[in-house]
Amino acid sequence: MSAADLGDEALAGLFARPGRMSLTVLGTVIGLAALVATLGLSRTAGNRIVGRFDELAATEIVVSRSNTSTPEESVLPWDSPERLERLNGVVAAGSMSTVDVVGRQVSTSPISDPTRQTEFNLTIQAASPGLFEAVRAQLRSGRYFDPGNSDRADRVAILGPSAALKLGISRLEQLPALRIGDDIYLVVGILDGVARQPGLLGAVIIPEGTAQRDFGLRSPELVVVETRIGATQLISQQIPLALRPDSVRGLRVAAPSEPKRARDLVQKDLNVLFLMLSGVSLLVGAIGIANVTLVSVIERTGEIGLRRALGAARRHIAFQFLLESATMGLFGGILGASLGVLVVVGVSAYQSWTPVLDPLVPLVAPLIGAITGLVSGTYPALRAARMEPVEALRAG
Amino acid sequence: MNLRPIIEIRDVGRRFGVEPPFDALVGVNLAVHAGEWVSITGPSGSGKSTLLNVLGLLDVPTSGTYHLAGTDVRALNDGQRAGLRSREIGFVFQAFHLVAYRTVLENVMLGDVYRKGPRRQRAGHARSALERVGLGHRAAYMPTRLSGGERQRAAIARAIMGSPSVLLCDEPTGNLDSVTTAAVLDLFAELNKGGLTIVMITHEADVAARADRQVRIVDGRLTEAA
Repeated sequence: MSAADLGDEALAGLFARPGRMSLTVLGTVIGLAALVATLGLSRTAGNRIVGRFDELAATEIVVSRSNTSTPEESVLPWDSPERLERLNGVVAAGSMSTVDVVGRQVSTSPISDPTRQTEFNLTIQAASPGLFEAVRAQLRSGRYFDPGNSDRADRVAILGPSAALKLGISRLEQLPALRIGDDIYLVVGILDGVARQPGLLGAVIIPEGTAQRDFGLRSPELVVVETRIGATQLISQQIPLALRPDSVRGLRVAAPSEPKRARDLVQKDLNVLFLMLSGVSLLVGAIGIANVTLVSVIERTGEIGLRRALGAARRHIAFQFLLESATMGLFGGILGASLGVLVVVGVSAYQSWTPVLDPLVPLVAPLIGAITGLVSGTYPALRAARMEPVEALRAG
Repeated sequence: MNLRPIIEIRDVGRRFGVEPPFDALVGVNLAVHAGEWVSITGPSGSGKSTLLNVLGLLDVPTSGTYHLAGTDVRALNDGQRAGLRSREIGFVFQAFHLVAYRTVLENVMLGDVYRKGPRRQRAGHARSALERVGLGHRAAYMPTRLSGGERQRAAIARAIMGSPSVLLCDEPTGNLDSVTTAAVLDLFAELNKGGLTIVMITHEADVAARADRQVRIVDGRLTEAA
């Protein structure tokens, strides 16, 4: 029996019941469409997430004191932001410090109301005027404080959105004030959000000069630097020299992690989940093919007997049924891959994303389908091949 | 007549089961020469079908020897037996065994699929086989549209498709009315006249009478009919 004959016989057997074949193939179609779509969508979405994350993370450097150095070696100078802004490639720089207020509470009311909480234990952050740009802060109302406020040690404050909500301050028209311990601060601005240093969202932010005078802040705790894209590695090397030429090892410079690794990690998590789902669909499809091929073998017992009588060896019978089930899997794979690509393109078009799909995925999917069909058809095919021709002819 | 018979079985036995064993064939000897038409008759359960299955290489005897066209079939494995079967034997069954989802022409062509014949000439050969049995005009039909007699003639066309040495017929007229039976037997007579060896099992005496030679089998033992 030639391969062409085998192909003819298998296809004829397959298309003998087109309705049943279509329904059987449906399981594989769904499984492989899910596989291709999930791989494509996770890649597309992952690229999207990572794309946003990259742009933010790839331009950020945080300079802080090194734990391994003595306090003297690691002190950040007050003019750190000004020094760094002189470096080519730095877009903005600002320093910030958590202020130790020694248990002082923050309140907006001059009197203590016993029925409700009027005093809060809020974080007080000291910031240089340039910090707001460096953390990409957005202002809901009011203004940022300026270098003059810091130089004069004015008692002004900017509230993070959570802090403002807690203190009940939403408008600035009536010049609201708050008290930190016994000192009164004028609220000049309320933040809407920050892209970096989320700790600022719940904090009361005061000028560094003020923190220095009122709370004895001795030096900035960290400096946040925004660079141009691609400049972080170079700037990271220059920062210690710019800030502490006398003790270049005293500072800790945190440059962004390799973005590609972060993307791979995100995708790995997504893919494992989606691949499991696709695997389950594919398994259901495989069971469907196995079941229908088995039914087909039983229904065609007489035909198997006839073929044996016409001179088919056991292997011819086995190959025919294997080819039928593998072809079903292959069809399922081709249709599933096409459907999956359509889903990826459709969802991407709807979301205005750029569809990203490994070109190997839609090519390998039909192969996976064919292998699924082949594996599913193995037991029915062996069963068909093991039939004794005499019994098969009698049963048919 | 050739010196060596085309079918030669000596002392063939076929035993089924073990507790208790059942002997379907006991010490059967039969020689069929090329060009003979032999009918095998016997009551139900006498071993007719078992003998035909052994002759057609669909079953293996438990004892004795069998030479088909000069080949000792005991030494062959499953694949070799299938090859010999496809070359030397054509089957005609009571139930026709046409594949319902193929056309009449494709059913006849199926007779050549498991031989190593050239694909290109297959359709032509099938058409001439159909012409030979008088079914040329039904080539494109599906088997379900054919009458019983036409179905059996299509099955005969399939059996003679590859010019086998022997035609083995298992109750070929069992499902046919008397007029169609006569037509099919006339066809067998014509094929036999053309040199085809025919071995036919039947339980109908008038059908058996059309053969050159009749043998009878009772309880697995073969006797030459008078």
